[in-house]
Amino acid sequence: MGGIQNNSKKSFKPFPWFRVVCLIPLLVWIFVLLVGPHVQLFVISFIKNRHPEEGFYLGNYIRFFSEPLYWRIFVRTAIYAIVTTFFTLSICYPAAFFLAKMAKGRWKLGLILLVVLPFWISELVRTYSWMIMLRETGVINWIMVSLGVFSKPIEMLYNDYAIFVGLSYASMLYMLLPIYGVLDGLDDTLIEAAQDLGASRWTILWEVVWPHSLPGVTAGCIIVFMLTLGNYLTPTLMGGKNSLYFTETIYNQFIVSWNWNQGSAFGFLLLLLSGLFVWLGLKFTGQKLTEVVR
Amino acid sequence: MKKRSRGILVCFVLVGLLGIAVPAFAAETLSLITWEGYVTDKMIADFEKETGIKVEVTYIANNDELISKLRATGGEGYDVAQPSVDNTPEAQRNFGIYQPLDLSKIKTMDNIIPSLAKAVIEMTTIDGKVYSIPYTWGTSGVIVNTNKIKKDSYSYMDIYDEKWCGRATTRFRWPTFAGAGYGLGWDVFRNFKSEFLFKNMMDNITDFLISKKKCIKTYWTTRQENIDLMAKEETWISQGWDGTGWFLGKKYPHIKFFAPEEGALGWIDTSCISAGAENIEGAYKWINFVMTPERAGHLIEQGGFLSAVKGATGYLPADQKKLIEESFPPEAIDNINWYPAIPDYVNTIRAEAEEKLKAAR
Amino acid sequence: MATSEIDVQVENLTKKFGDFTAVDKVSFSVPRGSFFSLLGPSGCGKTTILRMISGFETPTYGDVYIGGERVNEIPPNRRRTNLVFQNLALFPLKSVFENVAFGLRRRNVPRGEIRERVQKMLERVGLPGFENKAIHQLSGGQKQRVAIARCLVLEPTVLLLDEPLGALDLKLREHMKLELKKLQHRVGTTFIYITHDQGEAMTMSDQIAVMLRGRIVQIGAPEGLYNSPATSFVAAFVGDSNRLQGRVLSRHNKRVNVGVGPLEVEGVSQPGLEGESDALIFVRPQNVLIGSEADPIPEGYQAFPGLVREGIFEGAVSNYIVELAEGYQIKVVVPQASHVKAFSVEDRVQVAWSPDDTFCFSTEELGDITMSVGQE
Repeated sequence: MGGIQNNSKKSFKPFPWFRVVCLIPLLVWIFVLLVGPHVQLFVISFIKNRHPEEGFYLGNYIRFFSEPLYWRIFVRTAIYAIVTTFFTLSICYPAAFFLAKMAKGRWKLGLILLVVLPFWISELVRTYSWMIMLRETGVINWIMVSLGVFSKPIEMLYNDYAIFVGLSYASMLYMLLPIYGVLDGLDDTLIEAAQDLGASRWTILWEVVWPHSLPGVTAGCIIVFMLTLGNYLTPTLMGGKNSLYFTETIYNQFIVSWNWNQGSAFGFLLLLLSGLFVWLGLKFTGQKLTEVVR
Repeated sequence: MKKRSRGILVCFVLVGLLGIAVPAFAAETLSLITWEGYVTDKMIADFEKETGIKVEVTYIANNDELISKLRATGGEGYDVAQPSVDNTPEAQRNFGIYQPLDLSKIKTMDNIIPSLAKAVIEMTTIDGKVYSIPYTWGTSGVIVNTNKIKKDSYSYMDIYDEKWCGRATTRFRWPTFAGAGYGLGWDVFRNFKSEFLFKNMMDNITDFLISKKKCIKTYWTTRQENIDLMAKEETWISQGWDGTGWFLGKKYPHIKFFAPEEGALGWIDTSCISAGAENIEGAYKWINFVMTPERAGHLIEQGGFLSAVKGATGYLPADQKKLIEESFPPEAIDNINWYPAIPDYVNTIRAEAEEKLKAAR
Repeated sequence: MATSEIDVQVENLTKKFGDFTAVDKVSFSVPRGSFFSLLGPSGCGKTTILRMISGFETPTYGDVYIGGERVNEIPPNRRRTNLVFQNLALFPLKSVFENVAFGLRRRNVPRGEIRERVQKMLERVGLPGFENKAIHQLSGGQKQRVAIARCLVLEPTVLLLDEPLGALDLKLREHMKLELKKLQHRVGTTFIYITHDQGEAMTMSDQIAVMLRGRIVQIGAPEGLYNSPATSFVAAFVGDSNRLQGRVLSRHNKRVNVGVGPLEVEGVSQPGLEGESDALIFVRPQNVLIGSEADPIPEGYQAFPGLVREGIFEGAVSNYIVELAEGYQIKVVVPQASHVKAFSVEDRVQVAWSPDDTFCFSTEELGDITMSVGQE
């Protein structure tokens, strides 16, 4: 996010309204499609369901804190999202490192394509394919039993681990690409310099590579955390009987209880609390949002 | 729901930006919002041939979705809606999403099974105006793999039997609560008459379901998921729709739908005209068009749903007819517990109960 | 300066990348405490040699000895060499102190000692009190010195420098040349320095190895290379030269007469120049005298009349371009002094130089090499 480069030699001078014209689609998108509906939802979140005549009403928000069910679901959802974020990070970091620093030429292109390709398919289909892999009569069990590794099929679907797998897979790309970006920008001579100065592989990783990649890691973690916290499909389909996710609670409020006011309040609480988590995360790791966005 | 309103906004914006006045389509169209399997391609083609009206269909996964969609647009964008009858009065009273029907325009009224017609019209008459007529009906009961669980008759309680702990599946939605309630001896639908009684009953049922949660493999959410679980024998018993059971039975004869001893849970889906309907005449034409015995028979054969039209089963292949008759001997039909219209407090209480069940460990 | 002890020795060092031979049977040795330069155009293999000495490349064959020990199999982080990278490769997120302390920490030197040694080293490179600065706060020359300090604090047997001045602007480069030489003198560490800039190499080095196409063409002290280049490449690459091309007319012992257009130039025949072949003639501009037509010609010199085409006054010296015949020009450098006569453009003059200062080479070696002679 460099902003406008004033010092560039060839400065592009279009007609004066060009910038405005360029921004119109974005502004329309932001105001009409994002801000508009959100303002509406924000307003109704302060109205009592079916009793708009009572005016300003905080009950929808108070209910979140007074009813242990809801904040417990939220805390559980947040824990799922945090665990998923770390799980995704631990898978993607070595992969991004391999792609950025070890893979070469056609190999690299092929591998990146392999990572990106599944994301051309809808999330629903991807989730279903995971279900086919993991279920009791699924592909993995069939292979394991055929090979004699398992004596009988094991249920791998419908539990927390399945949720982690599904959520991590769904957000893999968003973790991989920012980290790949920063690692690709890491000058190889820095690694060689560290080695020359006597550093072992692990020291290089910890002292040189990791600090350099922190903005990418933070960006990836924020995106994945937010995506995961707001995911509805994967936990609902893969989680089975114990997977009540906060988004599902919001869905229930809107759809099952016909209570848009409560649903809106929960929606804004989700937004607020996830923002809080991101803020705490940035504070904790000493990163600045401007740097991460760059 | 949110998506829908956004989608509409997108349309508005695009239209506004381009400054194009959208002319009324030359061809007359009719917009339906209904369940998968309630309209077939053949029906759409025949209707267009007969009337020149093009039919567009939007599918829903549950009643609440239908109500939310109509609520979001004030009923605009859809002409005919096909919700379950038990939700209709409450939704109409709260959101005014349907318009009164002019029964004199429905020439096929006499084709409808009289008891169904009477029940639906009674339930959906508000301030002297009728809002819906029946279209299909069906039940929830138990679907059993008879190779694994062999009994003379089945109860909702068999789902929770610890002998096959981990081999059962249900939804975590309202029908599961209702079924378990009857299994536990509650007269579930009678308890609708007071919020206190209903809440007390739901608390009891919820506690029971939580205590048996360990024996449920998973809560199914889509019809397909229920089918997969039963077909792959990952579960042996399931609470589900009769249509699902018959669908499975065609391919796996040992998997059968049974009306439980406590009585199957009966639902009726209806035809309504949306409050914001643009093609009201077309809507009546469609309702008249589908309510004939041969089209109803075609519908049962294709979609597996029982029609509200008299004599529709006469148009069925013999094997399908046999499956249905096996599941519903005459006494089982008499025994059906029909979902009554829901009072306004029910939604909140049952949504809370559902959440409590899903969240419990 | 040179002692009998050898710090770095390479023998028959060869590196092949596929079919391409980057380094071809190179041998040399660097005495302790000396400043040794590898000089050559880009792509001549000098960086590859440096990377083999530091351990980042493995020789295809041949050996590297550091302090008498064969180190072919030892990884870079365990060799007693340190490398100053072309782009310096300072750790951008670490302070000056942390950059310099990096290697010491890897060796588990006690904290107090680290502080002391880093401080001392920063003083030595002229950056006292810079410990807490961030890298991006430093100027180009300061970064340079931090990069060197970061290596020297580890007291390596050899410090390897890969064109470290390349990124600096001209003025700073001139300054840093002298600084580096002084520094090397002070610390007494052996330096191996890579450059394509003969001026840098000449200024700083005790010994220079001139490289071409993966091979060493000549090794010697700067004066040696300058005064007696072994090949036409060295003559052209090292120092400023007039270059004339012609054909051998006659030969008597070591002397040859070469026809250069309408002129006939006498010079010393160098190994490789045989029979009546094409020849390249090199004459240093400093060795050419300039005078008016009437001036006497020194004993043994050959003289040519000419026309001044350009005169450039550069303070300490004056440069003249004198046209001897159509298309044949020669550059003359004369020290500026009150008693030296000045000439202006279009003056008729006489230039003269000794046949002993005229090197005649075969044209073969230079073949396809394009380089601008007489510019650096």
